[in-house]
Amino acid sequence: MNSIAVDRAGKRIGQVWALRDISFEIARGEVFGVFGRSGSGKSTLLRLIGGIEHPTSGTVALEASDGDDPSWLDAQVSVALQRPGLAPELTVAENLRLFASLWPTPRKGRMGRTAMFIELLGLSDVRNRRVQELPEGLKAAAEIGRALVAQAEVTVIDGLIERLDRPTRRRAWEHILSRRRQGATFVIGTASAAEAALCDRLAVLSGGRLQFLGTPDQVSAGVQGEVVAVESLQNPLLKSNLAERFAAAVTERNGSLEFKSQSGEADVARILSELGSDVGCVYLRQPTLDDALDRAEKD
Amino acid sequence: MLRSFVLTYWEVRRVRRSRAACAAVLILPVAAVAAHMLLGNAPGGALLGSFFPALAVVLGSALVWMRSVLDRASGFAAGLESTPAAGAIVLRARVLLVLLLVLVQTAIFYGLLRIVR
Repeated sequence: MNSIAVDRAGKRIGQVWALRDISFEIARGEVFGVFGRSGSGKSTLLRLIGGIEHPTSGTVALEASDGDDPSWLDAQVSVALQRPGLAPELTVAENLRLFASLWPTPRKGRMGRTAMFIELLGLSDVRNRRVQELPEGLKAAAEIGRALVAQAEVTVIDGLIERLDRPTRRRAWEHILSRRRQGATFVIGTASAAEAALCDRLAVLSGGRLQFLGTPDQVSAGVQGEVVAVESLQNPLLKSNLAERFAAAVTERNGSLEFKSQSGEADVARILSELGSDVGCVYLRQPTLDDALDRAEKD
Repeated sequence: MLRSFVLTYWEVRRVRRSRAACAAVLILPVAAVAAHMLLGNAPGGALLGSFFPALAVVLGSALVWMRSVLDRASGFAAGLESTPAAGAIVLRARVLLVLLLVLVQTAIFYGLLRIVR
């Protein structure tokens, strides 16, 4: 079974280590997420996996099974970059045709495949528009199309899926999951918990280091305790009150004030008794991937 | 080799789409014909006629190099690097593009010369 092996990989950019000591393996047919906020080292890691850059230390290797030619496998990683790698003067359809023709895919049916990806990624209306004239969201869709049209063994997509509109995002994921069933491997870089939750396994990065590795459920479960969420009645002092009383880092998310708690029910009761007049609603919830990311940042 | 030809074909399309690149291709033969007319039968005029292909090679190479720099800035170069067409195939396509530009510029130069004579 082919896999990608990242072994103690590090990357120094100038005097700064953008990545340090990263090790994991990705199995064939896996949808692997690289989850982290901007500046966490996601893009650098994905560029190493995509073969666009080489690690300063350690190795990133595409491993072949017995009988596979490793040099052939080296040509089997397709990468969609955050900054699109498209020809700005060419139209969307021309770009996809150009990149499809650079991969060892059968010539027969190439036009049909290009048309299929244009439809899949919601680019039908702009297929004959030059890439330089497109808004950012459509450029992201075209860049994903550029990577998918290769139909490579491994496809790396860096932070682009979350820029798509909801129906296109759903169709893109349906395609990714159907290709996975055929044995294709995907490495998805994302800062969005919604996208990360759809991956088979995640590497959570922060400050260029690997903080967690596991399934989305395992990563969420790595956050101990529960989260207390408080909906405020517009009291500007509530946040500092909560931080003071519970000695916790209080964050604002989706209009609620939240903090992690080891004794959730007792804390809810205390909030209702001590701050009841300032509070609209209090509830407990299980930690999510966003909470895991918050914890990774603190670590 | 086939992929180099494919890439060259798309590079030619890109040059045709770019006004700046088209102007850069046309400017040398037009300027050379104008200089040739001004110099008339002076030794410089004859020299220009003889050495035009060499001038076209220099300008064609400079244009292709400039485009490769712009491709790095736009991200297209990174896009190519993430395909099996990276490295030697891209280099061969650039050499082919220089040859094509030299051919086009030389043809325009001698064609214009025939017209103005």
